Amino acid sequence: MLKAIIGQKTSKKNSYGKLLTPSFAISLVIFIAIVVLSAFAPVFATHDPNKNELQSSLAGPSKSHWLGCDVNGRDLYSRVLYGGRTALMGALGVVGLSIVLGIPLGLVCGYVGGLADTLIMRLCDVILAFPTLLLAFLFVATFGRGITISVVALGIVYVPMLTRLTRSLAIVEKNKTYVSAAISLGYSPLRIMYRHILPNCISTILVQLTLDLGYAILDLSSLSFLGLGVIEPTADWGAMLGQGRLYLLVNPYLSTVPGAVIVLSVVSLNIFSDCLRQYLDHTQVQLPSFEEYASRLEKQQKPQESGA
Amino acid sequence: MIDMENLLEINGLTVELMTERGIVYALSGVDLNVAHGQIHGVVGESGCGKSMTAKSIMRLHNPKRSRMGGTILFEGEDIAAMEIKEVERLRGKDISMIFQDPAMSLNPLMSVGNQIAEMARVHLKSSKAEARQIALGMLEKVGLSPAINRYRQYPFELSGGMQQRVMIAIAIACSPKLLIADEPTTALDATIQAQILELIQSLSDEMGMSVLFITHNFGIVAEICSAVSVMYQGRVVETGYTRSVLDNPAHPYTAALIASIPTMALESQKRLGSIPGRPDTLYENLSYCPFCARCPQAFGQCRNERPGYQYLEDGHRAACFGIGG
Amino acid sequence: MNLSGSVIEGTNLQKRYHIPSRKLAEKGKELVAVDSVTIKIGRSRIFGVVGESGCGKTTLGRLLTKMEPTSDGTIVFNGRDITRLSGKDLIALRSQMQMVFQNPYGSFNPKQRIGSALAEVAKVHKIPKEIAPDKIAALLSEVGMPIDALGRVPSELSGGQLQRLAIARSLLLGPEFIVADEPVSALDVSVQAQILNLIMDLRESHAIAMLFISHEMPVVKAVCDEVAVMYLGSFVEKAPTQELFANIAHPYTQALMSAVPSIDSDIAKERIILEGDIPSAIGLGPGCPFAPRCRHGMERCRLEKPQLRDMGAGHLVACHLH
Repeated sequence: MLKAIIGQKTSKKNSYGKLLTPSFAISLVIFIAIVVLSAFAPVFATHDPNKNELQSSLAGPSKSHWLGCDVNGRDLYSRVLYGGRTALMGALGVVGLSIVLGIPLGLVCGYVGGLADTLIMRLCDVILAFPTLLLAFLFVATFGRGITISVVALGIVYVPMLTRLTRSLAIVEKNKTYVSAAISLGYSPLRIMYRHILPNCISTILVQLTLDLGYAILDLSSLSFLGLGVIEPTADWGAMLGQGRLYLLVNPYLSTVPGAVIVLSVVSLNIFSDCLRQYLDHTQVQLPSFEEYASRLEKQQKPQESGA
Repeated sequence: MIDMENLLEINGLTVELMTERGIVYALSGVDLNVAHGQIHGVVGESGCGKSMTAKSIMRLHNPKRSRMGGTILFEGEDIAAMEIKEVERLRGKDISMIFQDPAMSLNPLMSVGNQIAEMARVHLKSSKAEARQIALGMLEKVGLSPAINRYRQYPFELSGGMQQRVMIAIAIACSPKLLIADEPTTALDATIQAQILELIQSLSDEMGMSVLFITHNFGIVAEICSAVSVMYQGRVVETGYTRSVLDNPAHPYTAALIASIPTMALESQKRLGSIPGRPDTLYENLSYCPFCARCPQAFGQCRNERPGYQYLEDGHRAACFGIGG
Repeated sequence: MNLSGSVIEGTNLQKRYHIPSRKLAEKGKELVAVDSVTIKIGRSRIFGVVGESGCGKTTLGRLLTKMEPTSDGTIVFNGRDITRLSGKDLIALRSQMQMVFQNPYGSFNPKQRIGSALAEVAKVHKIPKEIAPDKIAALLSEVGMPIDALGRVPSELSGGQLQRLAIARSLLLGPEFIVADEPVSALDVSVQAQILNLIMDLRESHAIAMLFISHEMPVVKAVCDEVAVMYLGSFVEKAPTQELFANIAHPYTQALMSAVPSIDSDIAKERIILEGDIPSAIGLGPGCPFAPRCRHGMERCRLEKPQLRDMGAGHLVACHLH
């Protein structure tokens, strides 16, 4: 889907906007590696992540336990892989929920406006006035602990930001001629919002979503770190970090490894989204110099000549 | 015009621009002369290079993304070959420019009087008090009175026509020898356009200032320009005194363009003349007449060679093989 | 004029906008964008409205096509009162009234291919799948566009081509009334002539009533059967084209005419340069809106607003001089 959306905008020939910059490639490789390792955790894992081997409690790295074991003697390497599942699925859930609620609300606010806009935006202001995590605490305190509740809580907290963004983009598009044309062609408001306005805002929203995914991993980990997210024995990076912290001097791997994967995934997502934004923004295209262009043309012509 | 002493002489000006889609040959050999005190019109359709020519005179291209060739002689000095520092001394002082959209060209956070005074401070090295006097004089000159009150106003308090007057005041603050006006009335209403045209004409007469007037409207050329150059696809295809060009257009493009203008003299409900097709893109440096594909009189030579100028009487010239041959 | 043959009739149309005041205690002012305009357009006729920016010509077009609700007055379309129409009925009405916009680059969704944009119109209005492609192809050839334009996105086409396609799109539903809002202002002269010729052809072949909005006198003269000159929300002069340009009566029309830069040297014309700017339409006084800029302004003009009066031959003028 990503490719289809990007492909539409720059289907022009001879486009010099490069998506595959080194930083983009590196961040993409890191993130894909994290996703693949977590998604196929049962294949890559060496042990059952929840199996206690008390005799190897807090053991250091060894041949059988590559990264050592935690206090209950569970294999750290396997738990990091399975923890990735929790973190990524959770973050995806958070972002998914904010898409499902935030984009339609934003479109309605921006396109329809009026009373609905005022009410929804004030509600957003109220939610945004609280720090993200504080509000999530409130949800957890009310509805109890657990990964599902944390995801729903964070999902709702993430909605206002996306609503605001979508709304401002929709207002810009709404005033363009093609929307007036669509109205005068007798299109329904629903069609105009989803078939005409949304596709023209999607690239900016997409950038925001990749950024949100990183923040969601971070926030979910924070909740689990504080013991409000996952329930034992489910593996989760944040929870592992929290537990490992107690044994920092005995086995530093217990907290540094989950911490490192959190940092890696969030940073790679941030760089990814930054590259995406630069690519989609036409004003930031780097043009070649005349000399570069000439040598590029030569290179293009040479294979053709030799082919002929 | 050729025998007269010219203020500005552009010879064989070429500009190539680097874009996302490759090199654009924006100008491919522009020849243009502006005499002292003359209002010289440059007409053409969008993309013909008329604004590009103006930008080249001011050297406003991004040097990394463009390449210039040919000469731009201003009072005998070649602007095209100058160091950018020297050009900066000319800009605003000897050559100044006004644009289509005055609202975008004025600083919204500075009073209009101060914006005019700034020009005098920078280029004439005037003191604060002197600059203020100059600014007040300029406001009066462009018809913004009482100047004392206008001085303090901010751009958003003024209408489009008045903003354009302020732009003109800024442009003429240092009594430039050449004013480049790039579609200065396109964004304005008809009655306001008439006011601005009259202002530019009277200032030119009064100050002996040459004006390079860029427009897409032949009517404006007929009203205020004494000479005109018609541009097509990055070249000047015809030049001459306005009446001579309008009454006896020599180039088929000029003739077709004039025929397609709806005029008040035209009978209602009559079909207008139009030019079939549309200009090509400028990604290739053409070695033949750029108009040949749309030209009703094109013949073999037009498709193989680039036409040179054919001279008619009184400095009127056109780049077409069909003339005199 | 054939009264029974009119496709659309607007009577005493008025559009007021409320301008909220910045001060709490003060009551907001009203902007009268369109002030008691009566207009009637027959089948196969082009009615031109000329005026400067802010005179209300675009608003008038939006009122007639029900893009905006009227504050006062009635609109009758094909003998049916549509003034208060809303919801589903309004959407159904849209297929019979269309708009062509000034900016051809903006009037297509930039992310949608032209073919898909045209197909969407057919789909929404339930034109059967078997007929739609033929109908689209026929319209394309009528507006002079090749079939392969359907595969393009708007950014790959020129302004003139897009305007042709916009016209084709508006004709797809077989409308009886089209509002063309400055359809050639954004185009180059040679292309402008092509589009004007096209509009004149289509008016005949499709039997359409058209409201042609423009700020250029010569353009209006070239295509319209009847012309109204608008100033600050009101028609100041209205007449069949020939009659209007033969006997220009209103001082504003005269000034507007004289402001048109002309290429003809032999037309010796009196230059009237209007002083000052167009006043704002907020909180207008009781008199003639043009009085402050009018060179014939009299005491009466400042006190009483002149009504449109017939001078014969269908020539209506709102001026105390006549």
